[in-house]
Amino acid sequence: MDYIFEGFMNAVGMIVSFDRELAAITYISLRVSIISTVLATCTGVPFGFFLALKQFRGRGIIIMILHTLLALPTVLIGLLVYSFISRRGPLGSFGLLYTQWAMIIGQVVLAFPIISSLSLSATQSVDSKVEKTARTLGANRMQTAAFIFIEGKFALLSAIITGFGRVFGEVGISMMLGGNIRGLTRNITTAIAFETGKGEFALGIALGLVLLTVALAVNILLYSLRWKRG
Amino acid sequence: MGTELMRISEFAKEYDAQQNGFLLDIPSMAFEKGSVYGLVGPNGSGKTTLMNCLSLLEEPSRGDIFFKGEKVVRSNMHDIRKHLTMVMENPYIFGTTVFKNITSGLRCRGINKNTYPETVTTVLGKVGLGGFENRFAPELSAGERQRAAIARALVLKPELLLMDEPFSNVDKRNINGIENLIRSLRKEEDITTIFSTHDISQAYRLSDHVISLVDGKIIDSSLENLFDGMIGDDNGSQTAKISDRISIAVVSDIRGPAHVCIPPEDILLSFGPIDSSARNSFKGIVKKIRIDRQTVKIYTDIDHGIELISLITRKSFDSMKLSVGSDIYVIFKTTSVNVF
Repeated sequence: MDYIFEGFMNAVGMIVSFDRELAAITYISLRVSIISTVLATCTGVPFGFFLALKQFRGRGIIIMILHTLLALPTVLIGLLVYSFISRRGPLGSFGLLYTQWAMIIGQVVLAFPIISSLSLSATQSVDSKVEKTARTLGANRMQTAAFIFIEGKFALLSAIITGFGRVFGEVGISMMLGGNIRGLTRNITTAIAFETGKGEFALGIALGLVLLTVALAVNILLYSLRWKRG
Repeated sequence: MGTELMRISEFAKEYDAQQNGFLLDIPSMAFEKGSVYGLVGPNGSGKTTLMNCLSLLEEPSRGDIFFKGEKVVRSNMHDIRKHLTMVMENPYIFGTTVFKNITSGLRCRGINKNTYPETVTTVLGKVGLGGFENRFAPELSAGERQRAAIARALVLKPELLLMDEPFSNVDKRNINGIENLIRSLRKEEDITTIFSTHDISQAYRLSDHVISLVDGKIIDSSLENLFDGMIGDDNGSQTAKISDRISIAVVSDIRGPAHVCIPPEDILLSFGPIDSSARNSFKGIVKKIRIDRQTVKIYTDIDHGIELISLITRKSFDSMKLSVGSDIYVIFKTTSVNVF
């Protein structure tokens, strides 16, 4: 048991002393996850919003597919994206494999269904009177959509935060598409797996603590938004 | 005769077609500029549907709507909608400050933001919510929310203001405030107001014209003393059975279920049965008395909850010395009963 305690104490020491490697890994993790969340938000929120407000043929099937994709395992996304961006794949010439962009592509694929399906529910949960009220106030279609968007803003933010939480904590995509290259694609989750394999518990635990802290911060933000809504 | 603002012609609106195929059917109706209209009718009579159509939120199934002589079609609907607005029943208030709620319609119209503070202060003063600018609107009371919604509509300076049940879910104090507001709108020549209400006397008090709507049709009668009855023959004379014990003598071509309505001003009150040509005479107990300036409304229970309202002059009321609990006869002629 001593090694766990010792590892924990060393981890705290690394965090307090702002260890350079720990900082570099955390930076890569945050950078990749933030970019992928922004991209998934830019596509997923409008898509969910569109699905909620527009009735068209095949809408039900799209929603069903979207919900199915929520259960997509990260290793499967890794495999899928790998097959496209590996040297033999259709996008192989771009040389994306084992770069941060490869990780970002994989994480966008992971976050898009989460953010769009939660945006869909968020928009649907906005009172139907909002649309009518906007129209009585003389709003055109775009302005009406803006009213609905603003009224559902807290639920939409929750959708984005949930998407971020998911990509920040995933390991399969980062490992398969990033390749865990030190200083380039090694993020918190791949580093934990790697360091633990080497028996370097201190860095693993320190990274775990950082991961938990970010997850906690995200959840505090989420709950405070929900509280504000209620 | 004032200038016509809006007119509906050969108008029909079907809704809940799968359930009961209800039809709002109005051959013709015109609204004059600057007048206040009270729309009354029981639940399900089509008031909200008519309001939605007049506010151009819903399209009629048949017929036309004209606004200032211009026929409303899809291509001009959005532009015309900017000249009118509606305050819905239990209006939705945006999750922001009162100020931003009030200015939401102004923003849609691209009106200069510098004018907002003064405009908002004026309109909030008008509805009795002065100083509420920075309050979080969803935290207001139901009555305050209603008044904020009216302010949000008034700030747009609409030519036609529709208010669907503005008095529902509102306490007594706020009812007075909204009633005073409608009275003040009556004095404004540029705004036509249409409001719907359950309270018939309120409609008469506040509006220039009362529109009675029953089962989707405009009826030419007050809706006070409105009953559902079964028209049949009773010993050779036609009657409308409105309860187990009460049958009213009527004259009508209708057979079977129908509505009957007795204008309150056509009902006589007497302490004893009188020998007259009136064939309807019922004994009852005075349940409520409502005194206005010149007239008095007497609510008489003639059969366990069946209440007849009669309208008499203040002078008659004083000479009869009526009080709640008095035994009284209510008497009216067969020809006074409207059947539809």
